[in-house]
Amino acid sequence: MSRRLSLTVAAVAVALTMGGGPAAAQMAPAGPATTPAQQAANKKVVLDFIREVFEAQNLDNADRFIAKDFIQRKPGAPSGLDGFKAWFGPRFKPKPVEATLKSPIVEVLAERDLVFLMLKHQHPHPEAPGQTYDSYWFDLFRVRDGKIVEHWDQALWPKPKPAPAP
Amino acid sequence: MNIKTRLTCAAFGLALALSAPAANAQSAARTPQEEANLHTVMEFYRTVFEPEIVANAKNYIGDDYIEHNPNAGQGLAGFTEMFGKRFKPKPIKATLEKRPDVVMVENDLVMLIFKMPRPDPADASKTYDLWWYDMFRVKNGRIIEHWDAAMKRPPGAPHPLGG
Repeated sequence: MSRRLSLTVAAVAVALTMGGGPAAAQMAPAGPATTPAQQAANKKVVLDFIREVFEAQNLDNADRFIAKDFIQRKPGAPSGLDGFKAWFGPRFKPKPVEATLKSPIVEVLAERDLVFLMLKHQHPHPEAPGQTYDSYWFDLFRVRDGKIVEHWDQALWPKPKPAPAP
Repeated sequence: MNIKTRLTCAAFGLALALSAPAANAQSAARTPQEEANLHTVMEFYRTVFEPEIVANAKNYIGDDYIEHNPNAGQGLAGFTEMFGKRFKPKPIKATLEKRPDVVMVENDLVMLIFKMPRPDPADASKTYDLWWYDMFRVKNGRIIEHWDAAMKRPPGAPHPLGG
């Protein structure tokens, strides 16, 4: 590799790592550095949230995990703890909280104040009746002071519900 | 799945807090290997994906590459077959044009999220932000595995994101 190219390559790598450079302005705020212990604690917050709120479909437990000023980046869904409850309330049917996670989480990453989950889901194969295929869904959370303050996922804008029959 | 993540997944509940790595407690900086893995992925984007040069893929993608996108084939051959048809080669730029909005690296995994504004179905004059992710496993300077948000679609059907 030429010296010039290797310098360019190094600059790209450094800029990406540090979130520096002019193009960094379009990147989401990187958030503060965290220790491995903090990252493990943040993973636990997210995994407990999935187990105690999402899997148990328990809105009351959301108070312990979702910050009041929570930012929801899921398309079409409202922000705030109140928004979270308004969105998921009609969708949840409360169940007992289980001791272990049931969700098909295949990877958990933590860096800075972010926790990333990748989940494996099976879907009916569109061309082979009776067969399934795997797809992979992501959820990204920002955790501060033990609470989820921001969430992203890959959802499309929700399709409007058909009007109820008269 | 790497050992650290597997341990994390296995150790749910209260046990998770106890399984936090004891070593290196003062610093969570990326290791040189993690930086090198990120560099491999970013160079793949800069010299293969953005300039649409499928011939450069062999510099980054292993022969036994595992592809989890349900519409794509396996291995370097599968990648070349899929993108050879779509790519229209352009000059390689010194820096990436479309930067990821989120970058995370842990052990052999590199995860990128890109913000993709899409038309707002309720108001054509507006857009909303769709978030697309690409996850890579890197070994010995080669991408050996990839996941993304894709769902299966019939052959010939348009890409749901217009890609």
